[in-house]
Amino acid sequence: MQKSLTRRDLLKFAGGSALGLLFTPLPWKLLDDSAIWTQNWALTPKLSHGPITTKFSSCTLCPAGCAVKAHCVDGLPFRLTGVHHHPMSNGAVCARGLAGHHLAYHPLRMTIPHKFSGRSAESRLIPYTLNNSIKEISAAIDSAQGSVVILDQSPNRTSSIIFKQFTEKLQNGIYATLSSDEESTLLALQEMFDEKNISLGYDFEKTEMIVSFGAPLLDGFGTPGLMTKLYNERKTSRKKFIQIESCQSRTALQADQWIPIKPGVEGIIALNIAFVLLNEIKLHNQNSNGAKDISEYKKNLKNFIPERTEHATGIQPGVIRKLALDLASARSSIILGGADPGGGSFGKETEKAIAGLNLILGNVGKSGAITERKNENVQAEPWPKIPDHSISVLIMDSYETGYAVPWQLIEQKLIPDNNIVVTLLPYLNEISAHTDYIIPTTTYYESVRDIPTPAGSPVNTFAISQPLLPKPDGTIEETEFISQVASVLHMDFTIASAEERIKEKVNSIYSTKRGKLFSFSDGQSKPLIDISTANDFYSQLLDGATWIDEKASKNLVKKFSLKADIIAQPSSQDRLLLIPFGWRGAVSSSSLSPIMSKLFQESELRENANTVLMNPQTIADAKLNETQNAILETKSGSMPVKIKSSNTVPLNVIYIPVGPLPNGSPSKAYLNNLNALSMCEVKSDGTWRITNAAIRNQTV
Amino acid sequence: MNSLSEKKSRYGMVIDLDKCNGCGACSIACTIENNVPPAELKANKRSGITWIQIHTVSNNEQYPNGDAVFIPMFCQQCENETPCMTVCPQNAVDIDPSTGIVGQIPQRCLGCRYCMTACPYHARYFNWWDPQWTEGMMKQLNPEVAPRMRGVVEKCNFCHARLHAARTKAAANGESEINPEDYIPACGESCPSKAITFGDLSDENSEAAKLSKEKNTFRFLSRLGTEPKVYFHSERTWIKDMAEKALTRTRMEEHHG
Amino acid sequence: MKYTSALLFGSGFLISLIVGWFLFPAALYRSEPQPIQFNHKIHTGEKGGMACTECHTTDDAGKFQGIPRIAKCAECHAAPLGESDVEKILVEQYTTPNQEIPWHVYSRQPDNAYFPHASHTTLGKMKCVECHGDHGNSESLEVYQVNRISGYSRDIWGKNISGIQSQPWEGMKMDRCVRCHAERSRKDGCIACHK
Repeated sequence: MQKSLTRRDLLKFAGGSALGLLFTPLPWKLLDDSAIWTQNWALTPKLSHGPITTKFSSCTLCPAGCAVKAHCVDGLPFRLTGVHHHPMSNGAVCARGLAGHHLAYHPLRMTIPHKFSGRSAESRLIPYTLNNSIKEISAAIDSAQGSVVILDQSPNRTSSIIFKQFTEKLQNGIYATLSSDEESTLLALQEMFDEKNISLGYDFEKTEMIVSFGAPLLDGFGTPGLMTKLYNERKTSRKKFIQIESCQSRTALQADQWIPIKPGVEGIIALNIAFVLLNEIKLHNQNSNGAKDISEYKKNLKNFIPERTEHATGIQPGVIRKLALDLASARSSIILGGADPGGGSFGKETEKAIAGLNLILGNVGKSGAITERKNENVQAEPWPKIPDHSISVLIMDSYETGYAVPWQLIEQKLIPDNNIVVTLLPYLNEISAHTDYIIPTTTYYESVRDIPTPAGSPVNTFAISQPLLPKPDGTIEETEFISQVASVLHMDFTIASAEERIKEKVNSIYSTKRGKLFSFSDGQSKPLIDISTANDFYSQLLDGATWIDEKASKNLVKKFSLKADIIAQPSSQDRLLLIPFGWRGAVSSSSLSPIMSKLFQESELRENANTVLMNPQTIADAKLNETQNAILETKSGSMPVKIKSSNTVPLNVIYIPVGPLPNGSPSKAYLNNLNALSMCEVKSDGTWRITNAAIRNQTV
Repeated sequence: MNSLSEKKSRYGMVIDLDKCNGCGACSIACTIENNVPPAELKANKRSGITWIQIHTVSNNEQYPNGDAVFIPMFCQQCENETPCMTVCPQNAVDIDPSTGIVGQIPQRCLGCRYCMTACPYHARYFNWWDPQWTEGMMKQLNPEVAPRMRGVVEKCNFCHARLHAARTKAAANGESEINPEDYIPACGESCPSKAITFGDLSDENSEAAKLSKEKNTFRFLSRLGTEPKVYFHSERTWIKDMAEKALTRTRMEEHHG
Repeated sequence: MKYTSALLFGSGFLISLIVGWFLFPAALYRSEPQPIQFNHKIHTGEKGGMACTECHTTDDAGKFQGIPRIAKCAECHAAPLGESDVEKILVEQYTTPNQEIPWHVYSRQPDNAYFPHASHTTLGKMKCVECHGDHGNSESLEVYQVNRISGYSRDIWGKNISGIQSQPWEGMKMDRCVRCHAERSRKDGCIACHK
């Protein structure tokens, strides 16, 4: 009996199926699973389930070398915190250091060597082999007409010794360093002494008064944890912070007293104070006995009577007299200048004028002032002393200092159109974008590093940064690179491994039997003599410890000369002045964790490189509006900027941040040409603090 | 049977604005602790995610008489009529009865952003983009905080994962109460200026409870009556006056045209 | 004729039942073999005599460590103790090259769930078997089944596709946590158990 199926039959079947499904778990289970599926987006990362451990290390992002505790999962750090009670870092790590473990995985990180097709902005970055790079660089060294220079931006490491030894073996080799701006006043002071090769540091902890000419003391200066601790304790320890600066910086905001001045008159004010101290208060103390030609200095100071320079400095004589009186009656004080990470130092004359105040006040060689420490520096040629247009081959070990270096400062020393520049750095940044070769070295927390005494420290210290991350294939240690170049050049030059060199240094410290060792894990200090062997000392340093030397006890009475040869001239008020400023560690575009976008891009806490700050009155005078896109012009060229109105900036000043771009990776054009630093004019003395500038509407 | 504590804590914070120098360490520590992704290319201060956003607030006096403070602004943990909680159609926001911490459950969130409109402090953030970490950074995520997906709202929860860890530690030792030293949010732990004091406000002996009752301690927009548990301290009178008016001038203007 | 309708309706009904109860679960889950056929009984029984917590430890912060790492296995099995093939694989492929075993975890919870073992075992005095069943006395590992849609282990929902659990250790979904907490009248916010 044949019967075809009707539509009605199908419906019955479907009805039965539908009812049947309701008696199965299928609909409910599918609903449940698909709900879960919507919550588990494939692009959301899965977490690691490995064991959680902790390790100690030290941050190498800047010379301060703060102690860090790394919390690791499956052996990889996921969080860095400070080490409580550490004598220097005091449990604090700066924002940049907190994210230091990300830098190895930065989107701009390189793990193979690269070569540029040329020096122009249009040149391309081409992946290159290490062997070919080394061959070509060695050939360039071999045939160099001018000098072969290794520029070490983070001096006094054990690697620095290798650099020095290598350049000494070359006929035309020079080992050079660029001093960190933080120690510019100390370097000026060192030059004023007859005796050479002395090493100085600031004893901030015991001082009563800190007078800073624009140094960002409370915004990343020295060891940030120490400065904030001293600031917070200042009411009980009766310490005063005085800031002399044209712009109302973060330090100026927080200081006990901010003395606003016109831009570029720091040296004059220092000499004003010197005049009052010597010629009015008639300050006389033992230490100024070391001064030669004090009478001539005093005579020259007559040009710096506060009333006479008031027009130039914009500061009332009474303010200067009060400050001088405070300084004269303070038991101890420290006066320092320079140190803006974006603006660089003031130049030798100004720095010497500031440094001289410490000599007049007898602040050198005493507790709570400027102290001498044992000189363990690797002797180097200061970069400014290298003649212009003299370098054929420049190898830059660009381990971060956190301070800006304008490319113009480097370029002026190179033989034009006949030079090779190599950067030992695993990132593309404002400097490496101008070079010929980028040789990717290991980066932060990837290899054992030694942490020498930070600039400005009152005592010698030593620590070891233990690696926390695996070393990627293709990267090379900076000393290994030197060793390979030496072997291509058939030089008799063998080097020990980083571990061996650090061990050697540790042995030499151990043999002094001086100082104490602060252990990170238990927060206790013990004398070095209580440690039984040098090996034990080494392994304790590796596991997390800082060696701290004894304070030098001797008084520093030495011959020095004071000079007062600044010419006071009123700054012109009809032109706009471009003043760069920076935040230590954030003066380039690459060596910042991508999450620093929280401070530069996703909030307005820190100004990014495309924004300029101007006084609302100046904005109005220039017929511009806030948040407007404008064109900034200097002798060097022009760049587009966004204007932000700020009452912290004096009239006729364009305050320009040296820092990362507002978002994303920097473009090649930006790195090569248009940035805050390249807009500044680098003067013959190597300063770039003040540049004449104009700003105009974009559409005009 | 109930061996776990029924103690009612009220966690809160006192921030000393006179100590804060706006270094940004708290914001970065928070970002790392809570697996907040880096900015997308187009993100800005409104569309990005900053559980702690530090505002620079000036008294608007002309140079050189100006003054400014840095205000770390984040979820103020409103105790009363918690605005975000009352408006959430999904029950994705609740206030934990045992701690007073306002919790946000991203899995329940449907992304309507009503809570963001309701929040008087603009302390809530929406995931406009999929989280983007480089491959290596993905392995460096905090294993104790779940990453969020695109399309949901997130905010500060006083580093609740650290409270979890403290509770686990206490429980393993047979204790039902946590050791207060084991529970400090990442911002408080990382602040180099020690401007942030965290603790249980219902415990009269805690440092935070004492500081919250001091003379120059105040709260933002307290007139709304939401009883926030985050307090601020400053000797500057102008900031106290401003605290009652609006969070920041610029932020408010942007939101309302 | 009358019966044809019923037959069609009934066959639709029946087919749905078969699909829903048998074909659907078979299609929903993907089976993945465990890398090593681990025998719990040999460790915990008379031969080994070990307690669960000897291998399933907690760290210094009291955090439960789950399945032990290879280093723990290597404490005893750096070289083979017996003659079994399984142990030979363990030594050759895992302990000798110090390679972690890629176990599939039956009780793996999603990343946003926070389950502190210590609060439940040490403070709450619960026994391992109350949630994990008699896993500690099993002689071989069950086939690991993963939900193709949610990506979760089948043990989270429970072996029974209906969701009806005959034993207390079957199923590890949130409603089970909620039920138990409610029975003890605990007052918790969502974030007490979510991260």
